[in-house]
Amino acid sequence: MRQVDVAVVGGGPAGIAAAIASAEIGASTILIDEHANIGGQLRWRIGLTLKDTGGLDVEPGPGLVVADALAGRLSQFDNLTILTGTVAWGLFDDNVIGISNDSEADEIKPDSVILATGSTDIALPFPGWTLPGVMTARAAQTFMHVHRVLPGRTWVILGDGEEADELQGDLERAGVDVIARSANPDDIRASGTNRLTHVEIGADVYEADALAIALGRQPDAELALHAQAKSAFVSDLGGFTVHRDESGRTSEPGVFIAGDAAGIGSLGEVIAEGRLAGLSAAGASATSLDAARKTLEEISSDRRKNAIANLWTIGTGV
Amino acid sequence: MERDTADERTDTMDATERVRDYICRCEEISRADVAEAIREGNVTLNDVKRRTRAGMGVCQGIFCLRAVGLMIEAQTGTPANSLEPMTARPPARLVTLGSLAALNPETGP
Repeated sequence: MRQVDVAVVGGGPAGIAAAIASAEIGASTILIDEHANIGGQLRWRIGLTLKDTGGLDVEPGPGLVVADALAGRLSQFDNLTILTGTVAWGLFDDNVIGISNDSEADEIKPDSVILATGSTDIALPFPGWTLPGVMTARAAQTFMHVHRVLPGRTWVILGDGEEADELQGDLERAGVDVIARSANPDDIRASGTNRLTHVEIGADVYEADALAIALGRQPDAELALHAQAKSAFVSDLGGFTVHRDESGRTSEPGVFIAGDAAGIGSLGEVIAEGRLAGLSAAGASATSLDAARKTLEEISSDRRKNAIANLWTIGTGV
Repeated sequence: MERDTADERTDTMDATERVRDYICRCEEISRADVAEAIREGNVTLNDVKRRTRAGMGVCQGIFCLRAVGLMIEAQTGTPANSLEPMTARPPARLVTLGSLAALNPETGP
């Protein structure tokens, strides 16, 4: 069992901001990420550009460049340990975190834990959605931008929001065809023998070898639910959302949540929130906290502010 | 959100397609299985999970939770966004039994 002041689960933009904030003020800090490289969505959403740095000391720029710069920043702290390729599979009493990599398991006992576990794509099932060739937008982006594999030549996209637009842009830059889009999961059917060959949208039939489900993203807050943190369904934040204040404090002592895991937001918003959660969890001075709060206030959309402010007034599941 | 009931939806499918119209792909639970469970009186996300295993697989319900919620809404009228999430239990990610077995039971979680 490792003792530490602050443990951050998830090495995307929010988690990195939280870990840097915590380490900067001298707290012993562990950052855990399940992927081989930290950066999270900066590595598979290749179209992302960091504009608002959310109080983080990094040059604005393309997501991948920022991810590498942040990895460099993190390596400069003696009081910060980074565990990549490591999953956090449980959050137990006294905020003990169960972790594991391919070969061994361990436990971390932090004074505070910050959950920055990001998001998962929303998928609504339709006939044929489990055929090979049907995938979420995130899967398509991970294939292309992380593994450098083009998973299809002729695409149909299910979805009509920002995620669908983002994916269509990625696919067109990759030089493949997007032949149809539908917004309605009740009116689509995928078919083929052993793999996708046809997509029906209403009465129209398309020949396609790939179908992306791009219906948006939802918070992935499973570990907070292990700790029995209160939650409610909030459409404006992407789905089931953990009750928390602007600093990321949940209903459970010592359990913080930040970034997309706490409600889908912009890059600037999730970074500013991560930073504020990191400072709060590590016990920063009132002056630093006020500055981080001000930054977050400036960056946050009214929609997000209202949704978060209302979280504490919504009963669990009501 | 308006959705067809399971019955309307499955009318146009052949038998194989109907069986493989999965709501929960991890545990291979079909739309018809979930619809039947709701008709039997399992009207919360946890009820359906316990009755059918939908949500007990590798993804721990993050993919099927909305779909099950919308089916409950369509069949019972209870708004999906008023339902409580399924109870979350470890492990949140795949872990080998070997790595867990090596943990010290005195200090382990």
